[in-house]
Amino acid sequence: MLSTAFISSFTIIFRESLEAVLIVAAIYGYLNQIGESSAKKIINYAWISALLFGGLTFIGANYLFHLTAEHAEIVEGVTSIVASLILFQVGVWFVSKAEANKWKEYIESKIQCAISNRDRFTLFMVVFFAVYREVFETILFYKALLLQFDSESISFGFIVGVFVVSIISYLILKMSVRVNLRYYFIATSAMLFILSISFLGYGITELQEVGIFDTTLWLFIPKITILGIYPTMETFIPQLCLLFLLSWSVYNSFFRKKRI
Amino acid sequence: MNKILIVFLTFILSSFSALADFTPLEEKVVELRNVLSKNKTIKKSELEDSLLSIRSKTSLIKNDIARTDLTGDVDILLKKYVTSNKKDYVKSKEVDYWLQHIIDDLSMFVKMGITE
Repeated sequence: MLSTAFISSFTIIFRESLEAVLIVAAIYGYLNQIGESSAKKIINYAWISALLFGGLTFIGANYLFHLTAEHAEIVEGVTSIVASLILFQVGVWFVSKAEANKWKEYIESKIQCAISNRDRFTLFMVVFFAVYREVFETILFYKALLLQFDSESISFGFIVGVFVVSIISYLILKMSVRVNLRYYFIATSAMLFILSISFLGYGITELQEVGIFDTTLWLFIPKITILGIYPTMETFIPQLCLLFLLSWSVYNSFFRKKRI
Repeated sequence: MNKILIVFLTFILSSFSALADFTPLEEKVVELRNVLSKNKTIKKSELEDSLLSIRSKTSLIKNDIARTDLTGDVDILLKKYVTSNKKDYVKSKEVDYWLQHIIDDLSMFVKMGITE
């Protein structure tokens, strides 16, 4: 029988790290495809910095300031919204590469000029925020878990959780090598857009909870927590705007140039 | 590989206990939701009493994670709808929406194996 400590530890690490790992794996796959091994360092710097910075934030918040639940919600809300916007930008970038001709042009341009500093900065930021938004809460959960249960079961749950998430990221990386490039970009772009919309809804909800944004109920909208869809005007309208921008960028990438 | 993963995750999820001893807290939340369902608005003082009553139950939760999280959520509601609210009333549906979040958090803790 699995112990409570094991299940709690496994669930926390699996739930909190999955989204971030999916994003990192998708970007790694992208860099594999374009042969930009040097840019992988940026990704590594980004997630390591996020882990360190998340740890420092936690220490600072707990030992230097008096951290309330309200502050924690604000940190999480703002980080999620920033992550959502950068993620959307990266998604648009991916979708623009899915168009075959543009991809060819892109590869050719890369032969002469490596991935630009701006691209590197964007990749750094998206990975940093995707990881950072989860670190704080994960540490908070584990700290409380360690006070209550034995560290062996918690460590075992953590290791199994990391293992399962690693298998998922490995499958994504493998897919990036085997799958047709165009489909890979379409699939990863779709995933990034879904996460972007979900992060936006989640981030706004956190800020609504503390009263920074109002809560205008639109109960005809179903609540789908896993997609970050909540029945409020303040979450739904920005998500619709994001969806509109997504449609525009897809149209722009796949149809507009062909017509010209 | 995918099948193994699905079987493993199904096993993990199905092993969660469905029962929880959050009953006193749940009862208080349900009680307030019943009051809210009967009127479009609720008096600030009445809401304050109910939220303080819910808070007295969250502070009894043994698990540190659940206690901190749920007490924090109730504190936020108290601040938002009582301390910082200049009106004498609050829209019932709005409060009910945030109470549903507390219920969702409770189910999340049960799924994590935290039951009291």
